[in-house]
Amino acid sequence: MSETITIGVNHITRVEGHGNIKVDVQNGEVKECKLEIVEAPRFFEAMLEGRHYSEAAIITSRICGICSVGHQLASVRATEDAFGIELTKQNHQLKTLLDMGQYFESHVLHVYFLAVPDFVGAPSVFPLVATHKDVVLSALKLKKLGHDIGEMIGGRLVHPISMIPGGFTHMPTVKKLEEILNRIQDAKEELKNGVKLVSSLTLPDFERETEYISMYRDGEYAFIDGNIFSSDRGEISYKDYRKVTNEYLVPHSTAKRAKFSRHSYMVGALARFNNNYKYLSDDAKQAAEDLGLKPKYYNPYMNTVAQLVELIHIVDNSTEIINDMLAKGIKNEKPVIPELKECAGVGAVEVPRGILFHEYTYDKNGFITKANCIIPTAQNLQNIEDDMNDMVPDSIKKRTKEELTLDLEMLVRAYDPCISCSCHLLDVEFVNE
Amino acid sequence: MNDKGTLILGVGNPLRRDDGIGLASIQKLKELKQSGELLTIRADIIDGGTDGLGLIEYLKAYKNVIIIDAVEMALPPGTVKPFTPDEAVLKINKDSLSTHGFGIAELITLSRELGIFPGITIIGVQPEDSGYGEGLSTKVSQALGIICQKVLEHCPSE
Repeated sequence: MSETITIGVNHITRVEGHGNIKVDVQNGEVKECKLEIVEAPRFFEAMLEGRHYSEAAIITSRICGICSVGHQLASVRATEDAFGIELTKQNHQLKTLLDMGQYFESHVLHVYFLAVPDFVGAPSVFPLVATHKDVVLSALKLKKLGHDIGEMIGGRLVHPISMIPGGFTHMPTVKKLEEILNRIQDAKEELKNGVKLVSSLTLPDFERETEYISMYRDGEYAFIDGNIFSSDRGEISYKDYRKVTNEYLVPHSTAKRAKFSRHSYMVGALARFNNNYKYLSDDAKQAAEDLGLKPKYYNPYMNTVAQLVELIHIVDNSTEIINDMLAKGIKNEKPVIPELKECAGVGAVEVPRGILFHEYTYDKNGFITKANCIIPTAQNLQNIEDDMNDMVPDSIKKRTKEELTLDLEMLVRAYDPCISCSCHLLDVEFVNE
Repeated sequence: MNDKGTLILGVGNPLRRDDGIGLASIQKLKELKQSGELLTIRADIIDGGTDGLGLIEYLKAYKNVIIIDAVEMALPPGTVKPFTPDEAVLKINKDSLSTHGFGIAELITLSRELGIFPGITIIGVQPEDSGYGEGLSTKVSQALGIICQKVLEHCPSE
């Protein structure tokens, strides 16, 4: 390929400036290599100010359709942390199940509908219907299981309503838990086919070691409770999340960046896999081995593969939780009512794309005076650019412009960034007018 | 498959001003139903949020689906226009960088390609402002009555 290239991929033209890749190489030297994404949650922090604690989770669940449950969990955890509400075992179990349901919805969509088309050479999921209809149908079935877990725990198909600070207003029935348990077992069989499919695909050969940051809790693959863990520095209290995220601005982007021990760090499935591998279920470890994934793994494209491994773990972990709930009986625990006071709290939750932080400060009447939300995409942004900058100088010698463009698109897709996700206007032109 | 009657699905985001019209309409229809004004309607009324492809498995259970959504139609703000997917070119994200690019257009396209396509009517509402913030613009808010009327016209009654 020539030593001077310009790549500009403007993907979401409806929302200009969101989700664009820009690469400029002059005489073999990388002049510019960046990913432009507008970090939407900044706009929501202002909306939260002045709102009552009972409204915060409802508002934040609307930040994003894909990450709705994650924001709601982080919001509720932040409020519970502020008012000093401890999780009961059942509350912990219900929140974990809700989170895991979301992983089903999100990881399945990502692995099957966004990543697989790249690896089988299809431009999108739509042509896959003709060539891999069974895969598409299997994915939809798996995704629906995630939604149904969400509805069972959260009381509604989208944007759950039963989880409030202090507990749940409704409990799943034994019948429903048993039904979901059976479907989870079926899902495991479907996922084994997914492992076969993905293990037959070839991912780009690129490695760059970075700092991996996830949650950590002794004895479990942490989802909704625990501290922060850095592969460079070890455990850090979740309360000190600002020491980890160290947000800063760069001139070319409206989105803030994050860095801790190095120039950038990675969050998400691969980071969790690298940091918490020992707590994966045996079958998830086996799937990882079948897929050629071992800790520590430094190829960011393998984030997608790590998601599939996590789905196997989630099947096993949710089976364990539901069996425990059925054995012990579901207690009709009433939500704890917070004692209002001036206070502040942090909610740290592992959501599909990585660790998500919400922090709220409350006045004595339970109204938010200050809110801070740091999404996984904001934390990954610099890491994606660092991957791009590491990859491009070498790739321009070996790859055509088209190949390099696809490599970069696939890299961004591997992280599945949350791109201005909150607006889904349907855009049409009428046929006969 | 397709053995339930009619689904009325409101989609959009109430934190993006007029993009919340689908959900505001669902709220209004539920209120009307509860107050007894819409007793003849036989339909499930659901708030679908913004996870487009998440709704596909629910769509396929119904014979008829009425989707209420803010639609960029290049018409005056607040205009309500019912149409079927056949009457319009839906602009889909074929090369999305993220799963966040899957919305209603992608949902309809994929369900058609899979052959799980119920009779879909879209009640499109032209937004004025879909920027960040809560609350509908006056023009779109004033369309609520017409939207409910159009839904009823497209909804089989008992």
